[in-house]
Amino acid sequence: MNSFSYQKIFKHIVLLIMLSIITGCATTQNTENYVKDDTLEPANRVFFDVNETLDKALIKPIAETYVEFTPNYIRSSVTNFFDNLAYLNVILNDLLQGKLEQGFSDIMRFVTNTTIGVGGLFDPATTIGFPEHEEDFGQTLAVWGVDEGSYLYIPFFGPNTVRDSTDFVPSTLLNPFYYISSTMLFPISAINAVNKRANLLEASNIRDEAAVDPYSFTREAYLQQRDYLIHDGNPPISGYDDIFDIDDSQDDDGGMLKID
Amino acid sequence: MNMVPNKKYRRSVFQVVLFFNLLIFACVSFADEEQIQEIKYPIEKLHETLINMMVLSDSTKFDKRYNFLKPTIVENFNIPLISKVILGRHWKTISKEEKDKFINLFNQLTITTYVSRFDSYKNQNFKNISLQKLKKNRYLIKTEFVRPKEKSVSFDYIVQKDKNGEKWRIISVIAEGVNDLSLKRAEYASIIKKYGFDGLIAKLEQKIHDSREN
Repeated sequence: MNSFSYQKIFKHIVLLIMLSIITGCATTQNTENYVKDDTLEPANRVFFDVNETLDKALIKPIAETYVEFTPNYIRSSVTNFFDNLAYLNVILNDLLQGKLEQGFSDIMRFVTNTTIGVGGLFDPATTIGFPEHEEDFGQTLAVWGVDEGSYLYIPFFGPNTVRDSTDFVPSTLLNPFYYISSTMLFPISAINAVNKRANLLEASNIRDEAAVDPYSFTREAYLQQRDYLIHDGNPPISGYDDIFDIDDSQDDDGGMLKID
Repeated sequence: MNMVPNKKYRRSVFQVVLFFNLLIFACVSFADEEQIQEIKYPIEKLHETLINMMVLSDSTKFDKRYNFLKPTIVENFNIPLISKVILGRHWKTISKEEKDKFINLFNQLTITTYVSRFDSYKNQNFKNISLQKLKKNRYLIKTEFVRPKEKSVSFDYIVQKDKNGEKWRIISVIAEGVNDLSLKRAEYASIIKKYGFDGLIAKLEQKIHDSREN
């Protein structure tokens, strides 16, 4: 059996494992409390700690070195290239959510960046008027009314929910990368991973600076960000101030504050 | 023959009514506009101070920038209400002294966070987007932090009048859809569960110290 077959088998095994995790963890979640129940918290925290340790010891230093020695325009092109490869999944989910106009714009974006943008290395589409959108299968399921399910912290992949993790299947199958069958696959994947981590350096530094419990911080920020994306940056205003009415927080509003 | 004075009379009545209607409309609009300005004031004041602080950042040390920002935070945020919401059900279980200690510490943390995050000026500016009424006389104000050559960041605020009805104050900040209040509520609940209220206080003091050192 040659190396090509091994890679194919490996990729199928990963897909199967992901599918079994998704179906196996399909539990419902009690959302009566404002702080969402984290039914898998003990396991999630273990995976979180493993990821954090690995990140601090290896991945973050590599990403920092990469940022230090790679000019901004090259990093920008690397990001454009990988984003463009992943864009077929965005188009599919535009259409699945019935966003036809956005879908058309995204098809034009993909075609423009693949051709004029030299295989996606550059992003002329944004300038022309085809802006980037963030859509995935998790958002599509949310639009269809599927509950997010339990919060999952997946080793190597990070924060997720049962619903959002389903995106792994279409995003993998629709990425031309998946069909590359050469020894170049792993080095290219490594560049993609390092570049992705580098793009998250600012956010992770903010988290490290602000968080007193990084695990809860990551979970809440992730869940809220997802809600924001599902509503395309305009969540319904009805829930905005619910938090103030949970424990009758108004009772003894302190008014002016005397600060030392 | 009678029609002419009648017509004239009707026209003058119409003109008088129109005049008063316009006058009332102008007064109402003026009052509305005045109220909108009052509602938006805390956010505009905060943004103005942040930009001024960022301009100062290259030449001014942390403590000076902290003192520069402090009055704006104290006057325009309702930190006692924010503290109460963040601690949730734990608020009722702590003493008056502990509440005061938390409020003071949280105020320091808020100022420290702003000072360390808004630490350089590269022609950024804030843009007002919209103002919407929420429940119980609260308002949602959407703004954008525009950064040249970088993606803009959305900053939404909820403002509410003090209980004594004197002033509108910020009671919540939502950055890119992430509500700082619910984020901290979840985090602090988890810390209190593990280390107790004193453990939370110790961690917050450490955070403030670390931010000042960096």
